[in-house]
Amino acid sequence: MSVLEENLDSPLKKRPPSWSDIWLKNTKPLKHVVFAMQLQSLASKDPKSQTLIAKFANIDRTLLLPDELLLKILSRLPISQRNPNSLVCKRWLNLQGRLVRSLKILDWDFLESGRLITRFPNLTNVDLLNGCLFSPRNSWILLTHRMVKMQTSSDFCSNWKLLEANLLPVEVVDRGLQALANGCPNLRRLVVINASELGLLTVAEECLTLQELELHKCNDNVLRGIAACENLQILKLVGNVDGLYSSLVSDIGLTILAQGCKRLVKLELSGCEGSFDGIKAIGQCCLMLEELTISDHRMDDGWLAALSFCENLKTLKLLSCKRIDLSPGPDEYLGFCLALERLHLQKCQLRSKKSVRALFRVCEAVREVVVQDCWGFDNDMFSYASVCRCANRCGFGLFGLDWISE
Amino acid sequence: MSSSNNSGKVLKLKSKDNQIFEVEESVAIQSELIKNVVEAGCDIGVIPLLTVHSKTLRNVIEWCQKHVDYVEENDSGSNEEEIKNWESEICEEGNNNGSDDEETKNWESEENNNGSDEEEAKNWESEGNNDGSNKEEVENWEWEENNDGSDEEELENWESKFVDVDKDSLYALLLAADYLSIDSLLERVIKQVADVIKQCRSVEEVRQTFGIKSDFTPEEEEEIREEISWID
Repeated sequence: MSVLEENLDSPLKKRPPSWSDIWLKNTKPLKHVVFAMQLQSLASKDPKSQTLIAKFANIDRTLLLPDELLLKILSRLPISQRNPNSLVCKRWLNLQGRLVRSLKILDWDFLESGRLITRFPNLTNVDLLNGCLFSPRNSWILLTHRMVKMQTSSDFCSNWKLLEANLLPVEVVDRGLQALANGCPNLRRLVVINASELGLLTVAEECLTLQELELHKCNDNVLRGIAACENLQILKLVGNVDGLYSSLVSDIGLTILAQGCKRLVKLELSGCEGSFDGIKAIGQCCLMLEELTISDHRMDDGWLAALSFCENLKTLKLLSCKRIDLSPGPDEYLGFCLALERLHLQKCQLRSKKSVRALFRVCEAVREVVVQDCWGFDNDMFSYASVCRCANRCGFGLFGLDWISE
Repeated sequence: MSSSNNSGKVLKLKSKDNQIFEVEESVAIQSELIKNVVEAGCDIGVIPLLTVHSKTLRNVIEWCQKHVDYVEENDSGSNEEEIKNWESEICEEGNNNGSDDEETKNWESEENNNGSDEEEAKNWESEGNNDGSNKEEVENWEWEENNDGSDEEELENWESKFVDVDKDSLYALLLAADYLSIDSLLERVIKQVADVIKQCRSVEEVRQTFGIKSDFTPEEEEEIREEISWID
């Protein structure tokens, strides 16, 4: 780089007034000039040209770059580079942290101490699930489930509620939610376990842009806070998980949910109880509901008929259901989902012909049926599927089934 | 390189070491900064670029010139229209063929078939059916025009060579592109710097490459490493 010349003053003084308007609006040149002068003063301490070059080589030239530029450069790097970048220097740590939007928290103190928010001020997607669990010391048994991963000790409860002993208490979770809500006003997605209604309310009050929520170990009481999340569009409720914890979501909770979250577009109910009434309430209130996933349900029989109240439902998924609906009621009361396009059955037990028949009746408008890793699906089921209006144009996907004949 | 699209106006840009560069307006306005100056009507005389050295400015002008040339050479917009017009003409001829066929048949049935008349009719038909070769021509032309693919590659290769420079020049380019607001150059240099960082295999290598000194105490660094294990 050449020596800076003394031409700073002349252009500004000699130009007509209109020039200065443009130059003064743009402060970039001033910043660059200041940095260049700093470099120059550092270099001029040693007059010998060889050491001059050596000095330049040791100078942090990234100091020349304004934050916005360095941010752009860092944002082009893959996530795997995130951690090494954070260790380069404090400036990079700060800038890299500003780029992070989505995190899974594994240590609760990191959140409660406020350090998380300081390091990552622009979070929009936070998963606290594994952070709400604590591992006992000297535990060498790793327990993994679909959703959680934790170390456990060898003397776990005999009643098979493995997670309950390792969950942070509700008060602690609520405190953490408060810290999160205060620090992340732009939160869009949150995953949490064992929160209470109060914790949920704190989040709802501060995070007005919250659109997606996953509540694990949810119960009817917790759902009382959900009406406060006005912009909620995607919701997953996990009530009961066999072997890990038990928690009750019943018709009461489903009705409160229905009345509180009228803008729901996607809903997943996992391990929930309830019945016809709860599903009916959802269908009648959540008019924008397009996708409903029912997973490992414990609902009372007769609930299938309530699906017809979901008039805008486009996708219905049944996952890991040990039974569908053993007593669906007479055909004339079943109805069908007007707008349904896709039916997806995964890891379901389909031995009950009555269930499957009723299911296909309710889904007669579908265009696409996917049956994956289910058992009990036999040739008779296809004849039930023929009731689907577009059966001859219906796409059937069959995966992982043992035996299918013509 | 045609000059049909620009007004022919030439701007004078002054680098920070007082060298004057004469640049066509269409090339210079690739820079948003200069574009704003022109639109504000302040482009009389010389436009001073306080922080850009002549060496860098020369390179920047080369970049802008290359991009203006590329756009002009590959101005496929008007060519596509020409192709469409040509194709519709062909189609009309094709359609006319239909009615010509009828005509020849009518004619043939009306007149008593002389040998020469038949030959004439056949010749006429074969002329009409020369659509085939016309369509081939159109297809060839389209293939040539759609070789944008390789033109784009050529530009990318040129750009890669352009940014393959020593660090000092890269910094200078980066700052100049930012100051002058030349999006294409800025993006390409940013990508280049990001690639340099990606190639570093360790934190220390990143520091050495950019001459950065770590300002962490050992305790602070340990704390950061611990925090890294607490998130995913």
